[in-house]
Amino acid sequence: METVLQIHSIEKSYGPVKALKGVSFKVPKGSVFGVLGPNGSGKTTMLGILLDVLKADAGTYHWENYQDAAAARKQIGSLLETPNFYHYMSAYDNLEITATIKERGLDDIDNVLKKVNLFERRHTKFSTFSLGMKQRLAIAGALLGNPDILVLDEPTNGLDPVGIAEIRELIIQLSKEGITIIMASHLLDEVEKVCTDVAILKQGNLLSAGPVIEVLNDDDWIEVGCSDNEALAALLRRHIGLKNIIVQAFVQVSFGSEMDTETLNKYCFENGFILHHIQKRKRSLESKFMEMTK
Amino acid sequence: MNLLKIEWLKLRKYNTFWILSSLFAGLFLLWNYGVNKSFISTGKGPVNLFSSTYSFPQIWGNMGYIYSWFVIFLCVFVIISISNEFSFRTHRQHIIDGMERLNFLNAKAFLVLSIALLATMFFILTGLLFGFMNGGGNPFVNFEKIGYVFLFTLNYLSFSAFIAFFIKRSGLSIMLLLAYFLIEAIISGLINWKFDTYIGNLLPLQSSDELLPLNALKTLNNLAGNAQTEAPIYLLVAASVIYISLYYVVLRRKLLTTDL
Repeated sequence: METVLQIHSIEKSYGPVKALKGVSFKVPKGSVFGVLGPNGSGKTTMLGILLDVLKADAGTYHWENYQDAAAARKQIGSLLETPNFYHYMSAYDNLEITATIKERGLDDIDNVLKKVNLFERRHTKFSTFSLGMKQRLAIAGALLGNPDILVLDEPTNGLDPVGIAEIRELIIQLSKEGITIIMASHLLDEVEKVCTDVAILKQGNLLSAGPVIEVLNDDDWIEVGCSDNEALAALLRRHIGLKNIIVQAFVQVSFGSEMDTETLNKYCFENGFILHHIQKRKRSLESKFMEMTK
Repeated sequence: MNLLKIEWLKLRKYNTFWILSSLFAGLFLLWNYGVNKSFISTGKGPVNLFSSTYSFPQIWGNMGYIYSWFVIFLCVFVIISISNEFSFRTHRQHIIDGMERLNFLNAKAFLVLSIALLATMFFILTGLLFGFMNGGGNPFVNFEKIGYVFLFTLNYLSFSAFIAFFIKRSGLSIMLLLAYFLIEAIISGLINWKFDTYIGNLLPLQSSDELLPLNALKTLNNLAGNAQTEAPIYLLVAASVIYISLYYVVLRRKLLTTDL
């Protein structure tokens, strides 16, 4: 598979705190790559290093197909933490600076302003913008000059529900156009909805990386219920294939080997239990994530 | 050239820039006019600490001393322009957008260089204006003073930039710059007096100060039998150049190796 970015054993400390402890992964071309982890897991540090605002203590990274890192960054649209613009200048004038740094023409500025619904306000000073408008201007800056890659750190931060939906729509849209998107988030819902690949960080360690379906793939769980769940649980605990069991309102079980609802229902019935509830379900990404980062 | 253009885009719509440069230019013209017409004078009757000789060739030296005070406006502007990048966090944004780290420093170096060149050109024009108004003469005698004016400006502006890159906040940087003026004057005076030497004149800003001296003060000192050992000009020029290079080298190292 073609990759756009290779990260090799990146380490970074802030004084005594080790923010990244030798993290390596690859980002496939065309993917929506989620960097996932709880607050303080090293996501933003990682993106900061990839964009050269932070210096790694050890390790390397390489943006493929670019002559150097600065040339790569010119083709990368980025949104890191807060929107950084000159307060005394208008939206348009600020983007003119971005375009000049990226060595792009000015004709694209109107387009990106329209894309984020700021065209009408293009001559308004940045200092008068609301948080959501500032964030949208930052997104406009990132989209300037049709980037090959987008790096987004918590892109929906500070946006209202409509704004959040719009950004997600935009991300999916851009991904369809073939842009590779690298996105840090602690919102699992966000990752589940848009990401194809994921790297999970916890306290500076890489727990897992790869396609979402592989990394976050989980055993099938079957939920069963009868008039006496405790007795049913006791029976299921004796089943040799049993892997996990949780007794709540229903009894949730997973098996090491293949198990379908029909076989399980039959097994219970033969042992004197008549089920009034049986359902196959996948656990949510959230519970899997909580388990991995515990 | 692209770097200078980026700096220009930031200045174009920045009121503070236009106000400070107008203050620098306007007050400099006005002050010189006042000294020339003798309604600004330090002294009594015909005795005036500021020489009101505004004809060639003395004008370059006399005006150069007055100029050295007005450069403070430009120093303040350089500090603001650099600390703005840190407070708006645009220094990070520039790198993220694909600027090389070193080019962020180079952009500011070009800005400082351009301001120094423009200010020197303004100095020349003002000198020519007053010189020809007051009877003319040969403007090219003492013309090396122009070079000193440029070096002085470059040294002061680079020093201000150096402070701003470390302190990152405009208010504190400006106060530290002003405090440093005093501290250096005290230290240099102390060294020169204590050891009867000119080494004190080779301190970072003093080395350039000595290039644009107040001639009247020297004459007075000599009359009072208080003549000071003076550093040779070539040493002052060399010291100024070395300090300017040093600021660049230190900032380069800082910028290339630290987190932004």
